[in-house]
This record gives sequence, C-alpha cells and structure tokens, in this order.
Amino acid sequence: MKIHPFTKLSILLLITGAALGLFLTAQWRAKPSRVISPILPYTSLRDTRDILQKENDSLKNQIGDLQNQITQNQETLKKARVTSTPAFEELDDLKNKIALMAQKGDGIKIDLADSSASPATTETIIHASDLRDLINLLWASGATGISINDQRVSAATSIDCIVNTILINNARLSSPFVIVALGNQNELIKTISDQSNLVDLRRRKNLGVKFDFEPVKDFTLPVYNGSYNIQFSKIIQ
Amino acid sequence: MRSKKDYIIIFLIGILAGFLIVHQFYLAKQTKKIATGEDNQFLAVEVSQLIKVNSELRLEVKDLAQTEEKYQKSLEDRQSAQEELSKNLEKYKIIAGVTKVEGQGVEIKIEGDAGPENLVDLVNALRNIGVEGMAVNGIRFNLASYFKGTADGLFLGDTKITSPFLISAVGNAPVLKESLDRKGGIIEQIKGADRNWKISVEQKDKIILPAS
Repeated sequence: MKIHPFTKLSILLLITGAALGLFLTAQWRAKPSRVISPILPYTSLRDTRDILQKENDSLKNQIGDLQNQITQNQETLKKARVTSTPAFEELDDLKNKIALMAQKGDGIKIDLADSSASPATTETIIHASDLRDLINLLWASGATGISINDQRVSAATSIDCIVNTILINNARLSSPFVIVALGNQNELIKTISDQSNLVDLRRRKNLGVKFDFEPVKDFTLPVYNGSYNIQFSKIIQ
Repeated sequence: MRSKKDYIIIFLIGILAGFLIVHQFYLAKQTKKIATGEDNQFLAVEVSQLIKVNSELRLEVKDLAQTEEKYQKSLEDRQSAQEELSKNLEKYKIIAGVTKVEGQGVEIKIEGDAGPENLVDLVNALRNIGVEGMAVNGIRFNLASYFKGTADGLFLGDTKITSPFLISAVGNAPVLKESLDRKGGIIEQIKGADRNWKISVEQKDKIILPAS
C-alpha cells in the first residue's frame, strides 16, 4: 500500500511534535530543582564571606597600626629611661623571635606556581602541603624569618587549603606563590638545591609546575599582623 | 505533494528542538552543580574560618589598644610602664616558647612509624585549631622548629625522636579534643585507611610544656 506523501509529513511532524513536547516537559520539570536548590544560601554565604573578609582586613590594619604605635611608645620610654634598657632589649629580642618585628636581610626567594597545562590535575598544581614541607625545610636550613606572598609566617600560622585557594594567616592566596626566607644565604641555597629535598615538587616540575629560586639581598619581611591570643597558658618556674 | 511552507515548518521545529537539547544540557549541568552544594560547602568552611579568626583578631585589637593606652599613660608613670612591659614580656615568652608553661590542653599519642610530613601536618592542624604552645616528646616546639627525616631516623631539630610520639598542646582543651577527634579530621587523615597506627587524644586539665 502506498502512503500518501502528505501523510508521511504528518507522521514526521507528529514525531517531531512529540519530541518537542518531551523537551518542554523536561524543561518544566527541571525548573523546580533550580527553585529548591540552595542558590539563596550560596549568595548569602558569598556575601557573608565578603563582609567578613573586609572586617578581617580592617582588623589586621588596626593591629598593624596599634603595633606601630606601641613600638613607638616603647622607643620613647626607652629613650626617656623610664624603665630599664635590658628589659626593652629582651622585649625586642622576643618580638623578633615571634615575627612581631620586620626583618631585613639576605636570603632566598622561591617561586612556586601551578602548571599552565590544561586541564589542571593534582599533579600540576601547588598544594598547601608543598608549602608546609618547604617552610619546614627552610627552618631546618636555618631560616630566621619567612614570608609567603607577603604573609609573615608566625608561631600561629597554619597553611591550609580550601578548593583552589590556600589560606595563610587567613589571607586567601592563589598561585603564583613567592616565598622569601632570610638567613644564611649559602646554607639556604645549598638546602634548596639539594636534589634529595622536596623530591615530589621536583618530580612535578617536569609536569610544568614552577619551582625556581634565586638569592635576595636586603629584603624586608613584613610584621605578622594576625593574632596571638594567650588565654590558657601560665608561666611556671 | 509537500509545499515549501511544510519544509520551513519542519526546519523551524528542528532548530527549536536543537536549542532545547542544548539548553537542557546546560541546565542539567548547572542544576547538578548547584544541587551538589560543593560551592556552599567550601564557602561555609571559609565563612566559619573567618568568623573564628575575626573573633581572635577582635580580642587582639582590644588587647593591643589597652596596651597602647597604658604605654601612653606610662610615659608619665614609671610603675605603670614597668607593669606593662612585664606583661608584654610574659606573653611573648610564652609564644616564643622560652619559658616553662602550664595550662589545659590535649595530649596526642601516636604509635606508628610517622614521618616528618605527618608531624608537620599535625602541628599545622593544631595551629589552625588554635594552640598557645606545643611540645613533641618533651621538646618545646616553637616558630622555627622543624622535623627532619634522615637515614638515621626522625629528628626534631637536632634531637632524634622515636615512636610513640607524644604531642602536648596547651589551648582550649574541649575545642582541641573535638576538632582533632572529629570524623574526617586530622587524626583520621594521618592515620589513613591502610596504616596500623594507634593514635589517641586525651583531654587534660593540666599540661606542662618545657622551655626550649
């Protein structure tokens, strides 16, 4: 039996119409999942994070200003000989030990960066653990002070990772990372050049991860501007 | 016979169907991304971290403002200057680890062949939770302390340390205990799935840390 061309077209249109109907239904059904999905919490969380980050920056600035003011007052007291000079010298020595004083000197600058290769994999990016291992190694080679992207490493500093961001002193840092360590320059360079150190980072250098270093002269490390809260410790003899 | 108009209609329906297919594909991707809550989870972590740090920073600002005010006054008052200086010296000595201290905290005991990277990660986590001082196997851990793995074993600075590793940390004891012990926390991560290590965390009212 021969089908009339017009009937053929009708069947074709019917199938196309049915497919169209299915898509329209799918579209309609997809909408509720967007409405009930957590878009509001997302924007709310993002806004809250931004507000808290602004507060964080402002508090750090206040701490920096107050530390400067206190240092100036201490200098004035020292000059006025209101209290003993050795006590002030001890105070400066302690502040230096806990990164509460800017430090100037020679050292090493290390550049770490994610590989430009796409797509990024765990092998081609810099991890918080890479930075932790590097800092540990720098202390081991006699560093006297360290900063990462201008964040001074202190006794309270932790290096943590959230998604593709690294948190240091609660500043969100991302690649590239510039690590500066002051100390005995020869010793620092010798340690970083040693092929038996930072083996994993060296292996990943072949995959495009940037890992370079060079000596620095008269570099100034910033003062740690985070918090050092002491609530539970008591000195005993 | 089909007219030109019929072909145009089929063509337009085809375009619409194609548009809907692509749109549906992207919509499904977007919906999946939002529904997984990945972004929310990470943002929530950032927010909670900022809340914690900001509250610490506020305390620090308050503390520094009081110190600054007292130094201002002490320019005229020798006694007040001496008191403020002593207070500052005490605080900095605790942070630098140059004095023996006591306080509440936790003791973590690791029985296993932990490497330097495990202890580096643990110390980092303790700093993140918020400790005021630490010691590892009776050796005070301060800013410039480091772990080193050599052919002769594991060293903390120049001192060889062996299992069991005892990490004493002074700080808010319940917070430290809960943060360390939680599911997916640092202890679970260090332990790993395939390691036969024994790790315990004990909350203590009094922990004594030696001077470095």
